[in-house]
Amino acid sequence: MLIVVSILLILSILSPLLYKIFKGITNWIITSVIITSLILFINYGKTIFSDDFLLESYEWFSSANINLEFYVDGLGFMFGIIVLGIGALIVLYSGYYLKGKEFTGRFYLYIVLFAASMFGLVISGNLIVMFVFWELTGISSFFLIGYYFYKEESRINAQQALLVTGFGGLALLAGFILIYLSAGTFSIKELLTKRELIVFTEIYPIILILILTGVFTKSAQVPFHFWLPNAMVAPAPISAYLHSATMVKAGIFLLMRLYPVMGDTNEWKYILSGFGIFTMLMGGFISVNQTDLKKILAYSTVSALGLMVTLMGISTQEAIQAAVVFLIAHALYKGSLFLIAGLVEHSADSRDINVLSGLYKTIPFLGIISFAAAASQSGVPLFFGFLGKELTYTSAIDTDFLKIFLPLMFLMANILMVCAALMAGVKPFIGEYEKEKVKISSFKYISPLILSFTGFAIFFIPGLLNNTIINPTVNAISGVETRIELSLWHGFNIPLLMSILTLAGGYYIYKYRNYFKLHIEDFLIFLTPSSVYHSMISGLKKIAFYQTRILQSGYLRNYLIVIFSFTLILMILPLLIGNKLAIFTGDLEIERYEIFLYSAIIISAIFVTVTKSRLSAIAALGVVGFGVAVIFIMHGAPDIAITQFAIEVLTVILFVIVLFKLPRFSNISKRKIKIRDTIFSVTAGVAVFFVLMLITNEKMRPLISDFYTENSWTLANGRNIVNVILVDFRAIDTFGEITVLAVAAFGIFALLKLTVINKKEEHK
Amino acid sequence: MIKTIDFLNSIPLLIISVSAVITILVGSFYKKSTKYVYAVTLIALIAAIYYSFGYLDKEYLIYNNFLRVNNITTLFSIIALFAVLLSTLSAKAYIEKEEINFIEFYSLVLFSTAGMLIMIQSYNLITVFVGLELMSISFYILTGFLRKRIKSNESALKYFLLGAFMTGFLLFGISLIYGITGSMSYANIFQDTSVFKNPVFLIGSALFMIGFFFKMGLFPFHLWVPDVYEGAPTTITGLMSTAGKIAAVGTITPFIVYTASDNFRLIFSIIALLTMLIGNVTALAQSNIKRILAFSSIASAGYILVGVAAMNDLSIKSVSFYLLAYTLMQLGAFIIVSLIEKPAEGINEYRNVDIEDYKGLARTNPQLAIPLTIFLFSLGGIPPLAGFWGKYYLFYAAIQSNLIWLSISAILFSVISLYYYLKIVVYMWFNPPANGDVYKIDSMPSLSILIAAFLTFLFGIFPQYFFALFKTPFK
Repeated sequence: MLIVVSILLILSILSPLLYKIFKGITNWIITSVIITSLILFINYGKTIFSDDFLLESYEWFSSANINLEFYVDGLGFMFGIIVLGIGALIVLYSGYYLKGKEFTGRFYLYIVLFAASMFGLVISGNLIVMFVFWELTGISSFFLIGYYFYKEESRINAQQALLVTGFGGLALLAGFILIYLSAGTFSIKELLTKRELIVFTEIYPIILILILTGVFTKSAQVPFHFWLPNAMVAPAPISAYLHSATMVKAGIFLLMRLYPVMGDTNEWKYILSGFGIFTMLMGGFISVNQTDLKKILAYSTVSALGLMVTLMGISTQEAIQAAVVFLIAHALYKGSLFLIAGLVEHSADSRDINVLSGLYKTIPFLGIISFAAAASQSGVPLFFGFLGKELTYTSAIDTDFLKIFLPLMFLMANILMVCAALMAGVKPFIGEYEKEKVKISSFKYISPLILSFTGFAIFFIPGLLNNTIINPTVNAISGVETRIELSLWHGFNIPLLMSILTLAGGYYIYKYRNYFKLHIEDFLIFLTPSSVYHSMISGLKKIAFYQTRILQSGYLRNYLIVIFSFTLILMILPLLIGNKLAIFTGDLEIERYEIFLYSAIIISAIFVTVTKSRLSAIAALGVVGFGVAVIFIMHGAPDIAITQFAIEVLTVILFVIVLFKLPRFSNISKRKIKIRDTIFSVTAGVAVFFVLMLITNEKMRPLISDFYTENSWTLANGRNIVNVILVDFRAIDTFGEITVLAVAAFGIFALLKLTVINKKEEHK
Repeated sequence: MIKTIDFLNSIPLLIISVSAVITILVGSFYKKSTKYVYAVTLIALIAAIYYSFGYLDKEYLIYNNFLRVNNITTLFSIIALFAVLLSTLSAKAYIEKEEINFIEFYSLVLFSTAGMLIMIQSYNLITVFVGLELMSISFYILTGFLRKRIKSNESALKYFLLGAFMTGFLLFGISLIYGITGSMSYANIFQDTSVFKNPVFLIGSALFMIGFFFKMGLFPFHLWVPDVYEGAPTTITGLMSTAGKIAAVGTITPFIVYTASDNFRLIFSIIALLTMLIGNVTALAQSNIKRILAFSSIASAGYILVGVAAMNDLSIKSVSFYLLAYTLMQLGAFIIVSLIEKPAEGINEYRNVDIEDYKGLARTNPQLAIPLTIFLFSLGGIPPLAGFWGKYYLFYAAIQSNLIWLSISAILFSVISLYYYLKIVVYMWFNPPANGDVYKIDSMPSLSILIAAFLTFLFGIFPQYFFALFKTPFK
């Protein structure tokens, strides 16, 4: 398995180089390499059939229980074949489709990278490995959707697709981590046996919601569906490959993969069928109201994805089989229809089905291919799609879950799907012919031809497909070894009746579709998450704008207020938590002269704020400082007091020097701001007061100075304790402080020099 | 009290401090020795990293129990040294372009590095403070290094004033911790666990942490970050936003994991949440790439705090891995920004730093656009790049401590961040070129970009290589 993935990854990196060398025939080379890897992969099939699975494990990140594991059972096998098989055809087609376009080399790089990561995703045996590949598919699709980069739309939609699926991907990751915490492993093989550890935990609903967020975003379920139609700005082969055949099915794949681990619970059933039914109907309604060929196909893909999710929600063996058959059929016909749409656009220069008509006369061969694909989507007997539809109906009728309601919903969705098939696959080719003949190189037909008629061929040999692919897949998903025969003819029964009704109903709606115009999009415009997405982004930008204006104002004073307020909150919180809000019990023991001192400090502090003279403000500040120094003296810390005195004197002198440089004193602050500042200061003061009260209340540890008096001579041979502390006990700190001062001196020196330079320039 | 063996056990610190002193001495006598000083600086950094690896499995308390050399501190030191090395490697081209290629530049960088190492290895509250000051003051000066440019001056002044202010908080916190525990040494502080619930200790450690939250740029102490990051010379911004942050985180995380009680978990979670919100949301509205990266670095601080708030045995592992990844991608991005930037004509603005100027870069300068795309995707947390594992581990640590809501909101914010990272990518790849400029890239900056991009991939594919550096199980 690793070999196959590596071949693809290397091919991806080499493809720009290959394009430089081989130019026009690069697609054949890449296709043949992909086919080679497909054959390599199919070779593993023998092991898978005999042992039910194939496990390959390489040591990768074992300390975190993450190994590079590949686990292929029937399910992975089926998906692997789809990814590589269709991938080969798509690359082949792209070569002709993109002829003459810029950056074709890069295109190959992205698309092969996508194929590699999609393939890695479906064969990964470890949730984290799977996640890595999951995100890689998102990245490569981002570049592919934005391939027509000169269009504004392309750029926006590429980003949107990656954001939506990226969001889902990260939710998925959280879900995977929770699974790991519950089950103790990321390995899929081991998880399959640990269902009880996940389904019966309290966090099961959270896990389920997280995983389903990932699934729904990738598989375009309402309300995350909007990115898929928008992604149609990509070239046709991309739409065919990523947005109908493979990537959007990654979500379905994950549902199937995790079904044995966390499926078949009530939450699973109701959430899946709820979202699924809503999606398939809404997708269907919107699709028949479109006129753009690719939009029709996109919405009908949304509808089909909804149908598969619903089937997985039903959780019976039959429903799973229906989902698998439907999935294969859909990959074939929808891929083909997209490729055809690309050719139609090339030859008729339009994608509007109201404009397109009569193309059968110019390109009859394409018409036949298209009819076949449309027939398969409609479920006409003799085509593979018919089987999918029959099984869907049967499973809906046979289950007790949502009786009668479920078959009706399926019927409605399928009728709309038939209508969409007629609009996209038939309408452009019939009717009056308007344009002159355009030649299409016959190579371009190869891929859609193979896709369309594979479905046709399969219909006649269902036994082979059933034995090799469908049954192993169904068994792998359900974990139950059963054998369901896939027969073409069930006799006259309700499903057949419904199939006939579907075709008739589809045709009827197609014919009178102009009367059916529901304008559903106008109706749902307020609900569509596309607008939610846009308003969310503009809302976020508004928040950003206001936060910049209010918090990030660029004014230091505002920053200080924010910082100070928050610090105060943090200081008060421990008090509240400790429930110790100033229960002061101690004796104050205040002397009379102390009262005098404190009031002098307080009065000067107030004076500083109200005075209109700078000089007196400085003087008053000096009083505050000296007062504090006196307090130090009274509490037996003369050395600190001396330092404080020195600093105070120095500060006052510095202030006076600066004073001459300042502009005239004026009353700048508005009244409002003054009030704000007052409230703020008073609150801060009160808060600090409480904190201080608390601190004085706590019993502090004994003084550390005793240690130094005892040890300064014995340990450091010095009698001056302060000196000994500075140069011995805390020498490293002193050293550091000296360095700090030296560094600070640099800065000041540079500034001084700058003024000298400025003066010189002024002289000049 | 200081033993001779202590010197042997702190070779990286000695190398850095001695070379800092030597460079400044040489520089003051031989003005034209810039080239040699640059070489000496690089050699000193490489040697320091080389010797640091030798201490990974050691356990020393040195210099009278002021510094601690063990697995964790050495690891953080290595990451910080590495960040300094990468940014110095690329700095020369930038400061030559801006005509500020002075010897002091390298000395200041080395001094700040010495400060970081002291901080990270400190085992004593005062030593923490000294290291922090040494680093901060060097940064203040470096921020204003483009001294003729008003923006640079303004940001230096803002940074200095706010920084000095926060230092006051820090010291107050230290004095409260000292008062209640009777010691400055971690050895004694960590010993008596009963004191951790004491309200005075809580207030003290809250103030102590605030000093570091300021350096990390956590809400609401982040306000200086965009202004200063925008105004500082771009290489210095890269240095501050990576090495500076590593030092702050590397110092405070062990302290928090040792001492913080569950009371703090909620507060941390709220701060982390708000930081991620403010950082990511505000980045959406920016058009200056330096400001975008500034807000993204704020958001990253938020992610880091998610891991810290987990306060379990994964915290330090996840935080250090994220720091490494963050260094690679953030610094890589800043180096590229510094290369694209054009020297100012007037005294005011930095030129060519708007994201509009990045339009079509993939076509005019693919050798810059490709690595920048890698760094931005890595910042966005996309596998298999280093940034993905960084976030993965942080969120994993948080989920393990039952902070599921926090991890999920972190994930949501990551998605928002993807939006503005992608915007730049879209501009580079999907837009027609804004101008045909082809930027000149010297060999040294391209070497550092190459190293950063290579390691972003390497640690993205083999994250275990980093975890192998954890030699001793963390208690």
